[in-house]
Amino acid sequence: MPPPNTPEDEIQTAAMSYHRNLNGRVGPQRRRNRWSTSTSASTSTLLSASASPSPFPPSPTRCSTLCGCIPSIDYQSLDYETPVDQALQCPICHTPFYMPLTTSTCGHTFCTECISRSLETQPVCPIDRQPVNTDRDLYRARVICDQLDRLKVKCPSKGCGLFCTRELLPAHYNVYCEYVLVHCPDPTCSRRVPRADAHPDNGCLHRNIVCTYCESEVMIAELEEHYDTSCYGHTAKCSHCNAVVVRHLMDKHLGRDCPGTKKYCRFRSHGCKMHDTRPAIEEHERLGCVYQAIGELKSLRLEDRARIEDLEHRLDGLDARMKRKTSPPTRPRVGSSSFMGGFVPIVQPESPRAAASAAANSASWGSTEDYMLVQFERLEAEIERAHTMILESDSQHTMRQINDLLRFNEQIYELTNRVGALSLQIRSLAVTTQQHNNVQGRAGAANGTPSSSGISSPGGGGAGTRGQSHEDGRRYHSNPPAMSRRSSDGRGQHPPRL
Amino acid sequence: MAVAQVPRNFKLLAELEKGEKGMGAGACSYGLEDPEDIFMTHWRGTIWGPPHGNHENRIYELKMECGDNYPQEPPTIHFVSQINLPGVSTVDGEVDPNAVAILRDWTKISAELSTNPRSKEDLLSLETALISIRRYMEENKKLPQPPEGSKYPMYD
Amino acid sequence: MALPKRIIKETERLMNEPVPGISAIPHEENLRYFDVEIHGPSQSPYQDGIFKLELFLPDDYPMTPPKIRFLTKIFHPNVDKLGRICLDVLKNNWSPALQIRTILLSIQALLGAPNPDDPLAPDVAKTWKEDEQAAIATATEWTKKYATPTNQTD
Repeated sequence: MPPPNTPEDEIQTAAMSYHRNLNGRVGPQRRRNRWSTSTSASTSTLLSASASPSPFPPSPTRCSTLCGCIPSIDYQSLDYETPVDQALQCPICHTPFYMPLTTSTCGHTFCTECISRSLETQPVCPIDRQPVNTDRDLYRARVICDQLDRLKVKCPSKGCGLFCTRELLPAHYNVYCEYVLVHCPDPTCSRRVPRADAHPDNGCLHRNIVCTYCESEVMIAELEEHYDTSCYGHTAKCSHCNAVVVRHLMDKHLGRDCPGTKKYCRFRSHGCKMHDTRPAIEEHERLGCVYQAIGELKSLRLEDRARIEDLEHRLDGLDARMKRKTSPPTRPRVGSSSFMGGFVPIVQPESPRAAASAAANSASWGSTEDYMLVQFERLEAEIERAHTMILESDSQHTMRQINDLLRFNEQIYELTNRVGALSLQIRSLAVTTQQHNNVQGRAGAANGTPSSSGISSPGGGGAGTRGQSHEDGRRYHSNPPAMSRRSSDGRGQHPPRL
Repeated sequence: MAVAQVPRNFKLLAELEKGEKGMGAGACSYGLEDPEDIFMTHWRGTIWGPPHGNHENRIYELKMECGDNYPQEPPTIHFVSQINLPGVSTVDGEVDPNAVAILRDWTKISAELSTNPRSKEDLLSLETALISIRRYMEENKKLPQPPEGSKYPMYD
Repeated sequence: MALPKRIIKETERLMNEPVPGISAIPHEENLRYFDVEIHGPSQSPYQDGIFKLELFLPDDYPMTPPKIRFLTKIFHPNVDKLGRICLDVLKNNWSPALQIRTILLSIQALLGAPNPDDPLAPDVAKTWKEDEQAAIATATEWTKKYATPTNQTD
């Protein structure tokens, strides 16, 4: 290293060596190898060049402010490492002075640009309005410059993030910063690339290549960004747990494995509000979430409801069948209109009730209790109704039976009467016949009484008295009509026997 | 660096000052209808009829209204003096924005200026609108005109 | 739109260390445009009044002064009917070393010390000069009428 001749040279070389270290430390060169193995040789030359003691920029292709292709540093928008003392800030732009000028008349200091612009409109000091002559009354105060040089600033190029003293910033920015956008190495291309990639061996970086990880087409200059943000085949760092995961598996990682992501308790749908990292949630679930039981109860309730609905359905069906069955028999009963009158109003409300139950089904219930209560009431009413119906039909049945019995009784009475009359007739006939026989066979027959008694004894036994014959008819043993008929039929047969 | 977007009220104040000082082209003038209208909504304008035609030596009175979204949206302009001009209502003198170049393209130019301000010159103002209308009158200077000084009934 | 660091810094300071009796809040869609409220100074006809103003920092601020005007009606010899303010530091005496807060303080001070010799509203200035008592009465009345919070409907 040649000995520095001037303080400026000293600063310059200090800057160079500083940035050489920087080049050795951070490795954009290494990253570049990913897409171009052909550059590895040039990279090594670049590294060796920067390691050499030469104070001059190692590569002539590196653009700087000298070639006019990169914008100069905007000192007003620089970020400082620590808040800067008010005394070192320009009263016009409110940022630390850049190229400060102090008025010799009143001793106020401003940035060169700020004071020049202010003096254009008014040739006075902006602070105290003392007249200021641009050519004569302004000077640079060395002590202020020295203080400013020692301030630590952040490199303004996007992505760099380097902090260095302000005096070293121009060297870093204009020559070394790898993130400054410079001309594309291809002279025919007008676009820009980060300085790290601007090497003649690379050629134009604004052509597309196929990404080795995801096989999509990517512009070379945007390859790094592609890897960092969108390439699904490339690894990426999980933002929650710092694990390195291939990007297309990231969703799976976040959803299943990542201990850093927050997730909800398994029983969130049942109302558990627990939202924590995966291990915490697992612990919570292991200890038993209250909402698990609640969830089970809920599902049971749902089952019950389904069952109730099913039963209700069936009940409706039964109702309909019952209606169909009960209504026809009532129709032919002409004489029992009083029953019809009592029955119809009960059967009729069938349809409104069904409609009401349908409405009840469609309506959403406030709670299961309400639902159950309503169902219960409905069923109770149903039972009540069935009960009355049974009573009705029972009484109906009884009435019918009584009616039938009455009729039978009447008939029996009638028949008994007839039998009585017949037996009387028979007796009188028998008497007449006997008398006749007696008159005819007074000579032939010695005694007709036994034969007469032989015939009349069954009938006479029955027709001895009226009450007796009644009793016989009811008992059915003597069967007087059949007897009388036989006797009448056998009229022709008896005589030979006699 | 992009140019700061001037809020409506300050733009109208600047226009008012320009109008009061009479820094315009001389063929048009304008001012507030009510000098105490703090929101500067209602304006009056005059156009000196362009020469060599039926508008020559006539003074046309107009009224203009700047809404809340001015200057992103154009002012609505009515002729108070009767005029025979296609695109100007025969009932109330309303100027159809589609008839006048600057009013037609106003929102487009406004959007363009907000993203890419080209110059400090005020492309969109009440004055440029009046000048554009005057140019349109010049294009139609042969049309027969109603008697001088007559106004639309509603403004009489 | 890149906002100069100075404007960012000034806004931050206005929000974090507000001046008593003065507030300035930037519009969200235009950070150079502020809604301002100034409380009338005590011992003045504007006492208890809250005056609304609007302020805009033009492109070349701070080389040119901010633009500012009253939105609340005020009876003052240096404020005209459209709320424009006649104040030297807003015109020729502007200096880039001045700031929003110093300008707002100057306006508050102007309320406490009307200057009828440098009028913007000639009729108001005339009243002020000929019958100060009547002028102050009117100013008090206007403050009650237009600048009292309960009455501020617009």
